[in-house]
Amino acid sequence: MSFEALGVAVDIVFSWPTFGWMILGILIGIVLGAVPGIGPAIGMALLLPLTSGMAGPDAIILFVCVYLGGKYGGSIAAILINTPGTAGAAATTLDGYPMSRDGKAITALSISATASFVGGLIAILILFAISPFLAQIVLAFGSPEYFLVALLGIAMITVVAKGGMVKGLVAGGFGLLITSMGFAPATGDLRYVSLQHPMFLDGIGFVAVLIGVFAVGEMLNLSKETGSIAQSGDQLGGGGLSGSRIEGIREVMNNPVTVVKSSLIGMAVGAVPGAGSSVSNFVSYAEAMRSDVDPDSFGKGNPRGVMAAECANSATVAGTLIPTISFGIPGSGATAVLLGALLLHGFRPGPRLFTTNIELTYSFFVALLIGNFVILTVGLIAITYLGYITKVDTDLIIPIVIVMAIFGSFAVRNNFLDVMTVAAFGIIGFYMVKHQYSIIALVLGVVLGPIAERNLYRSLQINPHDGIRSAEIFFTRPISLVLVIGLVLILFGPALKEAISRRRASSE
Amino acid sequence: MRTGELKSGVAGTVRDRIGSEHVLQLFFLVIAVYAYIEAFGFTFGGRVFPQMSALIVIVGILLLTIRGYLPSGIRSWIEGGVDLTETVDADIDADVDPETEQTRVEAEHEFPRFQKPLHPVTFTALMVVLYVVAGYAVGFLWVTPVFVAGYLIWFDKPLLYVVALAALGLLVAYTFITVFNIRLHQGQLISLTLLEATFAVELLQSQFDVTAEIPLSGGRR
Repeated sequence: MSFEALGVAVDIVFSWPTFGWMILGILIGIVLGAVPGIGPAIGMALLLPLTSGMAGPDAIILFVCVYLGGKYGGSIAAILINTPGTAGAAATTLDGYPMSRDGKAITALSISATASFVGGLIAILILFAISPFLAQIVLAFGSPEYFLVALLGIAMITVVAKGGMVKGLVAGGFGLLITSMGFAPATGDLRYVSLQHPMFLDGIGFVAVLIGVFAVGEMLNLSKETGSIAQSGDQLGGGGLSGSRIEGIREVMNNPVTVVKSSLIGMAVGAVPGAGSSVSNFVSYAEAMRSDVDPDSFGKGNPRGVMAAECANSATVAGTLIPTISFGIPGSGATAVLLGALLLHGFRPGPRLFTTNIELTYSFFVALLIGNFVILTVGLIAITYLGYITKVDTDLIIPIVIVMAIFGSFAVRNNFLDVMTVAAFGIIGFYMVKHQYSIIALVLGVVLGPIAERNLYRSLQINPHDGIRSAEIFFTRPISLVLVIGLVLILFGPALKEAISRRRASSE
Repeated sequence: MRTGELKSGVAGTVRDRIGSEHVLQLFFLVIAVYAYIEAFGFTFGGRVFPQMSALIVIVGILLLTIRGYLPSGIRSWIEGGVDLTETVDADIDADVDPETEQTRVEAEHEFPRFQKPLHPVTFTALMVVLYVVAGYAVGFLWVTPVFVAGYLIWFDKPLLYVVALAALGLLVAYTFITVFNIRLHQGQLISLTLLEATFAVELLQSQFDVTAEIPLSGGRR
């Protein structure tokens, strides 16, 4: 780790207005995360166009902090009204809400704030420690490898996506396909000229697609729900906002093994593209339950259940930054938007972020580090007021979010196609979720499309052969070959495994 | 069987067989086939990527369409997978068994919002489309409060909320237009812009002032 770069990073974060953006990002994230159905991904998608005039580092620090704050905010609704604000807080409901029902809501919220802080801190320190090695790995990658990594990212997400791999591949392929409209990034071909209208020349903007599927799509989904966003808002807190902050902090401090183990699980799961906090919080919760002396108490208000889930989802934030910044493979909806923000502000994921721009990358990490302190402070001080966020009526949110989505999308390129894209992909995204086509794979395709195409073109240019033989490049380089094998295993491994087990069963 | 009954029976069968998923698949397929064919007109470098992406979509949709006729091993590969990444709401929506779904639908219909002529999702989607079309035609500044108010009135929100949020919508629109200089206040067909009206008045005033200073022929020099 370069301490000089770290010093510069600290200077960046503590300079004005960067520091202000960081605080604001955490606060926005907590509010967005606490409102079920909104979450950090939608909030970040809506904020994306508004940051186009901001300095790049400020914008990315804002997004990283919204993401971190959102992860913590999700636990508030989970604990108070048994409704996880984000998928990453789903496991928090299992013991958080029973604690609220027992009249220990403040204890549970304090555990959540403290565990999020400690989990985040541990993960960031690990991230600092391993970042020099990440640079070496990333530098070994050339155009063929980048192209394959893009495909691998989509493939990995399709494996874990609901609805099956083929639906995920269709979604990812469709995402890649729609980026081919307009000028080709490598050759300059004007594609699909039969569409004629000048607004199609720039192609479909990824920001508009992100806003469409995340914001408008989710608003369509929310429109089915009746009344308050907290459907059981009348039972807010069960026994009310009671309990003790000190007790909550003490619980976390008295369980160092659970805290460290959950943080490591969160970090490791987050680093796997396609997993994210929706996986890590359950894995960590399950492990905490498995290794506990009293596993039967889990689900009935065991504080270790809350801290395991919260440590993990906070640590996942740092973990997901690894594939996002190193290879441009986001592991979740929020990191897909973060990747979009990186590209929008001219930061291309890859080796540069670990070599010439290392101080910038460190500044994101430092922002996360400081952000965790802000979460702890806000979480412990403002707990009694946070419950009200969850009582907002969905019908009041929906039209305003749609208005912001429409205007925000147009702000990026001043192209009316983006407005149409938001509306169209809102509806398409809604039906994709309904029929289990992974919208994350779609978004990944849209975001990675131009990068994948540019690297595919360069790879084919490197090889002197024509036609199908030009693809030899992907099999002759060691890392490429490993990636191809990985891709084949990911796509066909499950089918192969099943075929083998069937054959074994029939032979027995 | 009467013709009317036969028609409604056929329509029902068609509805049962062709759901929104089929429409979605057809949409993906049409776009992919169009892109694949159109790409033959590009240079090799510009063609490879769109055709590769289109092929993924086409093959995927075909596999999904014929999965019922495939061996169980391949079918489970096509249909398999566990959700680990989507939102909790997505989890709630999907994988519902028919009985639960029936109960949910019956329960839903007890709420006033489901007794409206349109399902809330259909209405919201329609409103979004109308908002975009109307905004394109007459500009988004004045269409925005109408959209917000219309949405809230449909869902029987109190008048105070309707007025307050319509005003908030107008404020959001005005802020975007003025602060971020977003030219969405101008409609393509008719312009109903407050800003343009203001500009027009200012222009008239300046013209009036200018005219007052313009020396008439043979006037003062």
